[in-house]
Amino acid sequence: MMRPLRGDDRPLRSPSVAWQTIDGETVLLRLKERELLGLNAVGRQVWELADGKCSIDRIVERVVAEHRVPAGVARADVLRFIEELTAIGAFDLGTDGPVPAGEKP
Amino acid sequence: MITATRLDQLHRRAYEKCIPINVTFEITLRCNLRCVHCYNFDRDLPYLPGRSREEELTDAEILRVLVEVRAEGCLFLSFTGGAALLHPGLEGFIRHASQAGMAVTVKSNGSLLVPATIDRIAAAGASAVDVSLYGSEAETHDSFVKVPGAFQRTIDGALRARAAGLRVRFSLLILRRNVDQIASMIELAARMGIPWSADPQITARYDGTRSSLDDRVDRESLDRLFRGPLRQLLPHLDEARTSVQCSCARSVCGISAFGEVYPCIGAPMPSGSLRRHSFHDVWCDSPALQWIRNLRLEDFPACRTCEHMAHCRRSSGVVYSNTGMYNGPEKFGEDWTCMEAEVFHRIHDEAPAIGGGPPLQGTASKETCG
Repeated sequence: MMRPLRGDDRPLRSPSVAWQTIDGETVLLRLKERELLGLNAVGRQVWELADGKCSIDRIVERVVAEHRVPAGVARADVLRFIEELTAIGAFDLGTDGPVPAGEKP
Repeated sequence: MITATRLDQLHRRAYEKCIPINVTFEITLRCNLRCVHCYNFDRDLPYLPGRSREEELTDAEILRVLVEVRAEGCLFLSFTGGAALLHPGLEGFIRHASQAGMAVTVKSNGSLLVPATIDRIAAAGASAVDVSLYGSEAETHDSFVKVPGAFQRTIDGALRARAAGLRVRFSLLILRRNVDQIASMIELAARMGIPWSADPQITARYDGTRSSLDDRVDRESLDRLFRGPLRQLLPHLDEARTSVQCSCARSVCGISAFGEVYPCIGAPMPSGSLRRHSFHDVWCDSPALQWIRNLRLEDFPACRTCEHMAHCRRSSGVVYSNTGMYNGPEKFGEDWTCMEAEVFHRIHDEAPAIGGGPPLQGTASKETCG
């Protein structure tokens, strides 16, 4: 069972997923399952920020700034999205290491 | 934030918007086999006449092109050759493409899939290997590729690749010399648990020689195959069909070992050099690619009134290779494809319920992309 996410977790896109933005829609292709998932604009932003360096707290800040949504709503949505994608192996979670230099945790 | 999306919708959107989501990249013409059907050049010769290996794209050029095709929309990338596995830079190319987000397939003759190589390409991020198979027994396969022992190495390589977690698919090429082994090739693939696709279409070579066509199956064999072992693969009967266009130059693109852009790797129509232009500029501005995108049914002289159109699976690349005319042939019957459509028509007429699966794809396969 997955542990609860923390604000300093740094999700990383898994190599088990290919992806592309096609005609404005970002799609994820789960390579083993050959399953295709589409992301909306917020999902796309979170996916692109998930480089293993950017913390969940920072991702939420960026989503709030970009989409002008209340912070509580953004956090709930981002956490649910990351949980869902982590559960299917699309995200790996970098957790306990130090935050890379120059990155806001 | 997550929405349901289907591959066929994705392909349709890419087709309509001319986004090259499928790119096949020929990274070298070098090969360890000498297949009789090879479309690159007559493999009895040391290399493609008039060209040299030194003219092939450098590693730096290949890496640049990978960045450019990704930026233009590529999702499914296939490395081919020659034998792509002979390229010393392949592992780095796979890693670069995979990390950029592309689904990477390596097309292989299978005989070079030794454990160390498989481990390297899997670790680099390749997700799939397409393996060509030309017979169900060594004598047939090896006579085709002209290298003793190749069959066993291909079988062993396919099994190893699958065990390493790669998706493996057999490409069964149907020829005069193996036409009586198709059923046993399918059985072999089924026993190995490996999906397969099958194709009876072979083409003239890029060097202009045509002896590869000597091995094409004849009408009688084709009829027998599609009433027999390939019955399930008969293409859709499409009575509402109003176009004979394929995905060339729209969602599909090929790149030669010398950096020439093609509408499809099977349609070697020079459309722009990546040594002189960016991929974006060629893809968007090439007169050849734009001409293809604007073709209408009335531009295909033999097809526009053809009574077999609903039964045809015409590939413009094959027709171009064989006739030199992308929208050919000039008259019905001047290409093998016409004969194939006639055969399919007759089978459909006698048993219209036959067909309906993905064209020319084995039931063991769920592949719909890439």
